[in-house]
Amino acid sequence: MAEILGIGMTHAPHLQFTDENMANVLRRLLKSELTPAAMKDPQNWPAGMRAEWDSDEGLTAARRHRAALLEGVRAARAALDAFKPDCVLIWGDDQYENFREDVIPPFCVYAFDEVDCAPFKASDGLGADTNVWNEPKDMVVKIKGHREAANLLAEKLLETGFDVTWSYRLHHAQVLSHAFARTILYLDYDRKGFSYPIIPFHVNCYGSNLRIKGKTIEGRLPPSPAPWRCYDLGKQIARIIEESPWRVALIGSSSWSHGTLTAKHHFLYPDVEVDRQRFAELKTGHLRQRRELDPDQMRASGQHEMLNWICLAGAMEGRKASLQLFVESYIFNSDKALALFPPARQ
Amino acid sequence: MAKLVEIMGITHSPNFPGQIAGPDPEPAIVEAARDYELMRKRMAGCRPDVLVVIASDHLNQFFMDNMPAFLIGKAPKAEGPFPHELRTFGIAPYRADIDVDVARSLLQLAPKMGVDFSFSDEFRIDHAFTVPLNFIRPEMDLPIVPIFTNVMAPPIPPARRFYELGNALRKMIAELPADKRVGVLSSGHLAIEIGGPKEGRSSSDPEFDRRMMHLVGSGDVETVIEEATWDRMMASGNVTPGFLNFVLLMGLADGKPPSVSGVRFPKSKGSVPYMAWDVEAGVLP
Repeated sequence: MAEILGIGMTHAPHLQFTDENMANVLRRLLKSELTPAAMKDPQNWPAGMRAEWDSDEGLTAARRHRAALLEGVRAARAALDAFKPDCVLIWGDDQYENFREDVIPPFCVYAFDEVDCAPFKASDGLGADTNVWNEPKDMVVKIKGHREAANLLAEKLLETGFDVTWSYRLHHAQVLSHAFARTILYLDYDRKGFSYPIIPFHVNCYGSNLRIKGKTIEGRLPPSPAPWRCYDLGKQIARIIEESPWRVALIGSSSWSHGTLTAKHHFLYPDVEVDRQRFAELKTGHLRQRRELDPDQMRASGQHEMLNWICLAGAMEGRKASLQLFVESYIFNSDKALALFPPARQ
Repeated sequence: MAKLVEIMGITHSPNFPGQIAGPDPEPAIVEAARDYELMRKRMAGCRPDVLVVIASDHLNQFFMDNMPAFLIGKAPKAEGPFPHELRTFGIAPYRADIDVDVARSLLQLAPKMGVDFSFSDEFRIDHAFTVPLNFIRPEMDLPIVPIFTNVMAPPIPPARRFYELGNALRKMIAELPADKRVGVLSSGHLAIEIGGPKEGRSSSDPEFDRRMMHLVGSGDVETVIEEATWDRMMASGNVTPGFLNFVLLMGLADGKPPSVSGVRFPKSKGSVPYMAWDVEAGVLP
């Protein structure tokens, strides 16, 4: 019988690397010529940011950050194991990995039988390459897909007016994109293995703000799908699953505001204030508010990737989260959150 | 503000140009060629500044590793067809500038209207674009905006979605910031089979062709949508879903019947339909 478990989580690189490297994005930006000189002085930072940085350049804060995130990630894994899903759908973004100039879709359903995943690749963003498990950096693992369920989703979404792209294998990328790979990696933080078949579901979160390292993009890029569209898509996916034979875990995977996307903060730290508001709204259970979010406000607050969570919000309309965590940070580039929505018939 | 000045649908059969140019063409081909010359004059008479061209890709560049339902090409130039099409069919090449401003504006407007276009900056246009363009604008002097639709690789959007897309496209064109006259040329076909037992006939299903042209001609949107299912179209011929690009035109015309439409049945290689709407004469609201 069909059943749905909902999970909101992060795929930020920080958990994968050591505490000593966790503030590397900020360290790099403090050395950058593009950062205003005044903003390199902690005296000009928000008080919360100075407190996190403290006298050890954020090492103590990193330990707290990891502990808080692991509480959420382990709770998510426990919920997943208890739920025993037939497949796990993950909404995630692509950062010029699999989708490039030839075709950039707003949404893409991946219908794999199996896909390669290289979870321990070095992070350009953090400038770190030693993972906390000391596992080989070039290790490639096989992740199962669920082609039958993905095909059904693509077919039913197209039938109901969502113009999704579908894909039977990776296009440009050789391995699963970072959003999906890290989601799986963190759900397997305690190295129990991850045998659940997945349906990666691409959302073009970056839209007009897609940045390609070393390349200049001429002219305006098309925008991301609007929050209302992502919400409605998530809601429709839940309807399709409810009429299917499968037990499906739906995961909205992203951090919330990113410092590196927040121009008003000189790209140094995230919009913690606005993320706090979003979390307060989440706690009220009024998920439909996510549908009405203003795309311009989201972009100004560096919340581009939150579209992945908005898909989840649409799917979870009318449900209450059983666990909600907000792990804010000024110095680790992004605020993170975790939410669990238990199955309706539990 | 932009103005929609013409809506037109014709075949993209890569055999048709050769049938016209061949020795002693049969009467139906002569008549169809005359139809298409009238269509060319008709489009020219509308004095478009840009042609939005709706057509499909025949698994030449979009494959099962990334199959967009609807895609807008926004590179500065469009060129085609693919070399193997030139060799196989002996059809003429086509080159055109792309009206990048219009393409980008459509991509900006689409999300507000619930249309999820993919986009591309690296593509070619195959015979589905070049054949109709060579008939309707052989001068190659107008910029185009190519819109690719998936009518080849299932799952594809259903007929109703093609109609809705046409309807949304009309609204998008009305909201384009540029003061331009926009002609829309859609490329499709009726029943046709490639590589199957019905290949090469006058039509792989003349009854389907006559029925659909009657329904299109009378503006019977609901019956078209009800009957143009994947299964029905595939039963008529294994690439018949190219008909859906004509359903899109019905949406673009807001369900109004075309001012002119018809179909010719040569002895072989598929029927040759045409349809056009007198947009400026007040057919549309």
